[in-house]
Amino acid sequence: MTLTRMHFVVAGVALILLINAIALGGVAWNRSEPADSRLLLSERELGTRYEYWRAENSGIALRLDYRWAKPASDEYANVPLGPLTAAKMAELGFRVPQTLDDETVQRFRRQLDRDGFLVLELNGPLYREMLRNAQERLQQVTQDLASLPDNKDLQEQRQAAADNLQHEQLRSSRLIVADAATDPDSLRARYPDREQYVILPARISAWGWRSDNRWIIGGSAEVPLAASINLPHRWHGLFESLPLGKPTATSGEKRFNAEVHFGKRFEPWVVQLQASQP
Amino acid sequence: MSALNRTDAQQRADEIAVFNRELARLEAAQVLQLSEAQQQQIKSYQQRLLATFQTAFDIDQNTQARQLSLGMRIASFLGALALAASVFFLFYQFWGLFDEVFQVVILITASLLSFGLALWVQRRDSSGYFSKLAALVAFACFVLNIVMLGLIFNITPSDKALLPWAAYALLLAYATQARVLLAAGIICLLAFIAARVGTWGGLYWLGFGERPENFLPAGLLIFAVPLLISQQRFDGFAVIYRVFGLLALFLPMLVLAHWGEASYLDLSPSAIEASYQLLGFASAAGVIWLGVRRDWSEVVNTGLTFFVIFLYTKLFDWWWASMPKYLFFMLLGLTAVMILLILRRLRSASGLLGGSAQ
Repeated sequence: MTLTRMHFVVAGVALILLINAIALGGVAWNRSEPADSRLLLSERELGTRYEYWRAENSGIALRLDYRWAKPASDEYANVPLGPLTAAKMAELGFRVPQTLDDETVQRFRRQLDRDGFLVLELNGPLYREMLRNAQERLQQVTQDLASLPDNKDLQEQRQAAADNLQHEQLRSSRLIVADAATDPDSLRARYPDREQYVILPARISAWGWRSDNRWIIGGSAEVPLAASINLPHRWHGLFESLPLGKPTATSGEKRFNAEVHFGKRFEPWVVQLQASQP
Repeated sequence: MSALNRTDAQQRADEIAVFNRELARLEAAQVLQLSEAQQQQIKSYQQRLLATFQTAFDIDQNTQARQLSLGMRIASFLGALALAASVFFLFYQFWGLFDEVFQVVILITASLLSFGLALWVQRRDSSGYFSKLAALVAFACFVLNIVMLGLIFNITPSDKALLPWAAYALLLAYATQARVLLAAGIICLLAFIAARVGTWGGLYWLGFGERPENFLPAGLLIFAVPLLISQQRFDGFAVIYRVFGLLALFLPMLVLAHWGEASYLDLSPSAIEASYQLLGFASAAGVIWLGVRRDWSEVVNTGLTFFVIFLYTKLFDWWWASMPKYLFFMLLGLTAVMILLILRRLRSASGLLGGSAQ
């Protein structure tokens, strides 16, 4: 069959309209009631994305800031992506070696990232535990300093612990990774509160490192959707007019509260935005 | 011969010029003397033919025209890239000023209008330079359309977007005879198939590049397209399919020949690397043979290029550290001479690599 101009016209227009219809239909399905979860977040969980090309981009996007539960004694706690245990990695579909040596760990790490789901807990027991850890750390260092008041190291440690506690109380995200699985339904069954727990698609990665002459293996995960949440045009004026909060007028964050819904495909959208009360 | 595409028409016009030059020499040497009527008959026939080609394909009638055409092709491609970037930045500059409904309307309208414009220009532009430029801008509008819908509605990033991009690029390529859009469509299709192969096993789609073997089935498929669907009406399309198919086969082999850890195979990295080195040599030799048999010069050249790359990287692995540099480079030179000798034998045996055309 010879393709005529009319064939191309019809095919092109149909393709453009069909693909847009599929995409918009998916959006409508995602946002249809009831939403999978509804969270009341603040600037602590919704970071502002300052694009380096802001002058060229009139859109505003927020970043969903979440973090991993950090045991007080964990010296590797500053690892940027949090630990999933080897047992959890096996649950997530990774081949986990029975014995750990250079070769088996190398094979474990060679596995490609896999699809999975994370459940994030908002302002719940995990956050309170981290707050308690910070308080205990400050109490411990304060006691140590009382016995050696001239010790410079202890003075610095106390200051760092006090700063850390203040950061936990006022600035840190209260959205903490609670669990991971390959099946979102099983996570929802375990975490049914839709106003405290949100389930999001995640990219799970295998890692392993050597510590004290032994191998440790586990995994980390990141949520691609968290990188950018579009702020619709109707909130732009309010957002731009928000005053900057402490600690300084120039480096503080804009302070606000936002209601964010996560739909049937776990995709988020901002439902409400308002300035937070001082 | 009926001219099916611009290349055929250009080749016929070139042959007419050669014929006229040779005829003039024969007449000057008094080997052949055509009558006035015969000369007039030939001339008018040629002029009619060339006028038809000129109208339909805007062929180059002399060397200067050919040089200018090359410049116009480059200008058309660069202009298209610049206009596509302009569309992208224009939308980013102002999209935040509109609500979601208006943003969507603008995106769909831009896709439809740019598509209509590309087809409209194509009907009026026999040279193809302007229609290809317009088609590339139309493709940029559609890519922007899908990307921005994802950003506006926070849609989960997915490899599925690659499929409509590939379909649209191929549609525009066939509508406007634009090889650059065919290449864009093939690249999207390669990435989509590679990502799908990975995700069937539960892998995250963006990891497809970390396992080069994902590209091998896609490469075979792309290479086979001109065998399954005739591309004769489309100028140079079969060449693009074959070259991109071979690139999708050889580049993964080349990577795996030096980075065995990236393979799916549950073997030691050194065994994987050795296997892919052997496969690379064998495939390159096979491709050269196939190119010679089917008279596909681009296939021969691609096969030769990768054969030489495989050979030189292997020689580098073996001898760079252990051998004095003058000896190493001398060996490289000698291998080049050896390859030339083999190719000369092939050329005289089959008439390919320039033999058949002369």
